[in-house]
Amino acid sequence: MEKLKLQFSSISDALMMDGHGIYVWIVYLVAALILIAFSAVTDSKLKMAKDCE
Amino acid sequence: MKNLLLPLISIKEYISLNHKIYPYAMILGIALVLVGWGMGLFFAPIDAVQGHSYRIIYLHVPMAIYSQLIYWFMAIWSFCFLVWKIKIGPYMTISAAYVGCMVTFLALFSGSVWGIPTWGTWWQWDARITSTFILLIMYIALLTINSSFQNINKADQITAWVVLVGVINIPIIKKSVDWWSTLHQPASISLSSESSIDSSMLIPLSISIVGVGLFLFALGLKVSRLMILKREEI
Repeated sequence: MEKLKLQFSSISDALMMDGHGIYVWIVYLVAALILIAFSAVTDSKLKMAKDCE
Repeated sequence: MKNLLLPLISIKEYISLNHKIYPYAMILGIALVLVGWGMGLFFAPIDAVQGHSYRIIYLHVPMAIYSQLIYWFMAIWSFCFLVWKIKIGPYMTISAAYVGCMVTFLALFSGSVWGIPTWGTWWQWDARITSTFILLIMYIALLTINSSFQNINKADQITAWVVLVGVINIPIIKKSVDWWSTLHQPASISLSSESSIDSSMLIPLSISIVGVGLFLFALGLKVSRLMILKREEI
């Protein structure tokens, strides 16, 4: 097993990821936004449904 | 035994259990996702062939796994509803369909973006991608069918039948990389045999799979609560 160690020497290194950063970060950003939005919309609908009771 | 099964039969008991489980599943899910994705993005070693782009695996694989598992979950509840008329069945099926639809979209989206640096294309009508795309259409169709009937009981019954018919697609998705020559590689991780992925990559991936599962479970609990609140007076 290879040791788990920090793979980047700086923040810009981590953002660039040898030119692959754009693909990696877009995927995680879009997924996080969709998951958070889904959860927030459900929360607000739940609140509205409770208020209507 | 009767106490264990009560939340599956009584909506009141289910809501009470739902409230108890939800915060634990949500908090633990988010914590594990952050740990798994953090390890995968920053600490796991670089892939010799794909470089850093392989780090999309920590999102893509959990989403792909749950896009299929959620459908199995829906199929089991649909069967229970049709055979034993379990009242909670349609709530479980439809709330899972909302989560499943989002998860399948994310699996396709992350796979498409991953395909650009790896395969040189974001879309290919190969067996795995096409069968997963059909799964996304199935989720959308189920949600549309369920909301297009005025008679709720009829809508639930038709939805349950469609879910059961659509289950044929799930083994096709799973086996597509073995049955046909596709751009996708065969599965790297397996429960029955040794995984072909190094444990330094497998550990963050396993944590991500468990974390995403708990988070989606918590989302499903929340959606089911909303659906019950909308339909029933508790």
